[in-house]
Amino acid sequence: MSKFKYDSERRSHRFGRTLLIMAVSLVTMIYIWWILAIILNTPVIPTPDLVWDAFLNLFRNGDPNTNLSMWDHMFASLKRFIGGFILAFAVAVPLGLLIGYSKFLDEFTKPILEILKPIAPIAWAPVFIFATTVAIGPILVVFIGIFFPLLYNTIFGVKKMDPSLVDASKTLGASNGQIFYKVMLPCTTPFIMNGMRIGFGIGWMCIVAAEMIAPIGGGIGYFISMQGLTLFNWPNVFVGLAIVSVLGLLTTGLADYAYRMIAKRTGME
Amino acid sequence: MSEYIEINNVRKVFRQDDRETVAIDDISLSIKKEELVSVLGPSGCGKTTVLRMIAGLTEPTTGEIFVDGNKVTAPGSDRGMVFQDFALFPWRSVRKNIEFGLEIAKMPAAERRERVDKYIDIVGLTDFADARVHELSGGMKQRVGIARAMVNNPKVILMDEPFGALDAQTRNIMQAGLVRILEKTDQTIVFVTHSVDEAIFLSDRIVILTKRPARIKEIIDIPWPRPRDRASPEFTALRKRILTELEKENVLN
Amino acid sequence: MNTVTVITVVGFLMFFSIGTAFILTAETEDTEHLDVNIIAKANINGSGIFATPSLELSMKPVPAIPGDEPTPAEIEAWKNAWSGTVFMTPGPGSIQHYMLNKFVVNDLGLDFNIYDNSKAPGAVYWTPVAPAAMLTFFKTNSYVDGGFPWEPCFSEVLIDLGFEYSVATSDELDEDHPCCMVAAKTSFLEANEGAVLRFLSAYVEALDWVNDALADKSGSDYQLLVTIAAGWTGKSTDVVSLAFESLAYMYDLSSGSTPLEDYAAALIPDFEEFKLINKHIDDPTAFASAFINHKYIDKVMAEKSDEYPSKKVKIRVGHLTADIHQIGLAVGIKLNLFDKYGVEVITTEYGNGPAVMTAFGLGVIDIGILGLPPALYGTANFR
Repeated sequence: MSKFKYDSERRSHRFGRTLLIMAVSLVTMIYIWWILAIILNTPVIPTPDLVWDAFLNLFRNGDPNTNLSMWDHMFASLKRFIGGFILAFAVAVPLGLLIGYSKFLDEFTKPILEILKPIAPIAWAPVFIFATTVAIGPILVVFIGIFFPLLYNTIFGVKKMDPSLVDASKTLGASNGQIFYKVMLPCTTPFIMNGMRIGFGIGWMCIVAAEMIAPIGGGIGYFISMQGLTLFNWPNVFVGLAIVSVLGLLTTGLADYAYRMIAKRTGME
Repeated sequence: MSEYIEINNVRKVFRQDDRETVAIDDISLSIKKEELVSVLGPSGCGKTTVLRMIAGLTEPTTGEIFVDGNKVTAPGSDRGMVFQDFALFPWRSVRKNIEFGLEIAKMPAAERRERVDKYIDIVGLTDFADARVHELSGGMKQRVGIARAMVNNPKVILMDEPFGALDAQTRNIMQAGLVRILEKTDQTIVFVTHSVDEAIFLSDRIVILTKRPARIKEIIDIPWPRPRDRASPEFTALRKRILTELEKENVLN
Repeated sequence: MNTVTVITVVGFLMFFSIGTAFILTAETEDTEHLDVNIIAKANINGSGIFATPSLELSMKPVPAIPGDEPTPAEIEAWKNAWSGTVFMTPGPGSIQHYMLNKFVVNDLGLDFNIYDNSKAPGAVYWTPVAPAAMLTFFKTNSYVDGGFPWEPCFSEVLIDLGFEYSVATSDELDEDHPCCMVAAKTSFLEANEGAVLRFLSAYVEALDWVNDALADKSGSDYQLLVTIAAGWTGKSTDVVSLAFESLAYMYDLSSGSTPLEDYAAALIPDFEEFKLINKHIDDPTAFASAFINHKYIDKVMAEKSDEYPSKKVKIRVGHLTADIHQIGLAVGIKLNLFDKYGVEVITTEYGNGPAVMTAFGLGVIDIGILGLPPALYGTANFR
């Protein structure tokens, strides 16, 4: 058997290396968890095997306390997440473009935004949920979470735009509308994508927290809150935590990929 | 040849915090059709401002500018511009950058393609037609910038230190290239530069400005045929003369 | 391979072998992180189901001729009336939720699902709402057909909406069912026997006073009781007077026809089936006997602790918000009975029983008054 030699020039070798390190890292995490669970010896921190049993049970038989499947819970959270995201996108991006474009609007909105920005989105949850309804409240919480990073990145994108690009398009005969669509929008797209990438991470924190308060129609946050604070079913809580992690990874991963694709395509890395 | 660009008693004052800075103090200049006029002057004297006023990107405080008999009030595709920092659209390919003006003019796609191909060929970028801007060298970027300005077939091309960001060797190649391109076209060119050598190599006339507030100090005709030999005695003699003039301006500063 | 690689690899191998050995050999003995005992009863009954009258809901099929067996068509109509309705409950783990769940699955033969924007037939739907909020929620959310709150929220609904909204009281579902309990942390019981006895002495005296007052509706004590209850729950005197009709107060753990141990032991397999208890309990009878501790209340009933020490003992008590079931605590405070026995009670309100269990878990209360189910399954799951 010829001796295997790692060759950093080869793609398959590099990929294999990354995969191997990742696997060892994850196994290490589970080991540390397992040992900690045994040392602490509290039902609140179950060992991985108990969580694995709970995981299989929940995905085979659904959530016994609501008769919803785990997919229903995930879908309910995703629906709220997407609703909040669409709302945030529809408001933050046009507003960001306008604020970046108009000095007056920038000065006018700055005090309002600066006052609202430090308030954690989750702190709004009780207000939104009782002021609107349990169906809309959690969506608004996600909206706030995604809104600010998206808005600030869009404004930043417009301000970072090279003014000579606008000059150039003017001398090529572009009207204000054409400048907006053909220059401003593509210029700020990578920044908008970056805002989305950051906002997605915050959005997941928001949706889980909001669902803990507004428990209509399931949702992964509701599942965690009910299993943890009402039913004291700790293995199920850990399954819920794992689901949040995976859903968060998937959505932010998707945004990250889109960001890099667009940044590369637009040559704005 | 007729008087094509007419600059009449133009004055430009910038105001900021109640402080007035007179950038340009009463300039009048006529440029003929198909002429290449260079504007030379000490740094910060307002050369670029003159160019931007012809383009319509900056408004004169007093005075008027006419291009082909029409008063300049706003930017338009009849006056193309080439920028020192290239000002290319990074999300567009070479072809799509050059195509931008035709897209704006809503030219049919087939016609557009043909025309763009022609100008890609003129600037020698056929092999890079689908490359992205960030893949190009500085010289290639400015060739895209020139093609983009020319493809609209403007009456006037305004060049704002187009080779200022390039290294000396690339500069020389680009200047020679520009001379070749100009033979094939009939555009009027106003060329802002701080390189005396470049101005003499390219221009039919050189306009020398004073330090701020800028006035026209001298206009020099260069009726020599092109391409010109930088090593010839009259070339070096003229360069020396202009450099001395400019130095005087700088010393007085 | 260089030294660093060797050390890393050897380190990993050692870590994993030691870790594996540790995981395989570790004795998973149960330490008692949270152990709670029931030390006295608070009340029986005292909850009710209400619903929109036009639905014509009833707990049993109604035969055309009273006293006759219902026909299959009548049974079918009865099921159809319930099918696709949406009910508010205090949430899974409450006695109301458990009772409704049992009724829907066992008696109606329908599913009991969380409401998810669909009222498809074949199931009764539930949505968790705090009892105090049920009336407002019912009025503002048209998809809700009814609710199952505890008193005095049930009486408040009837007075506000009309008596035709009443479907049944909880004792019609399960006669004389146990409801709220006085529970205490086991570690607290063991370390503070004197304090517990003094607390229970005051509590027993308070409930005796309440029962005497309820026996004579024309007496001034009854008026005082109604005033105290109205202040405690924040409801009108009409509401609390009505609420008093549907519940009974008692502290004796041995009272009632079914021993509390048997009742609790019977709940355990049900709770396992409903996934309220997530670890199998091999011997429900033994679990229930250890869970319910007669020692303190029996001692107090035989002889009230009359030590009256000059030095007061502080006890942190958790209770439910605006719950008339827990009136003994309110009366004990208002009539200075805890003072009399040298106890200073520091009260904290919680929205539901599970929250009281969480407070036990966090170590912020010593004694809690809450429903039997959360105390039972909470104790089982925390073990």
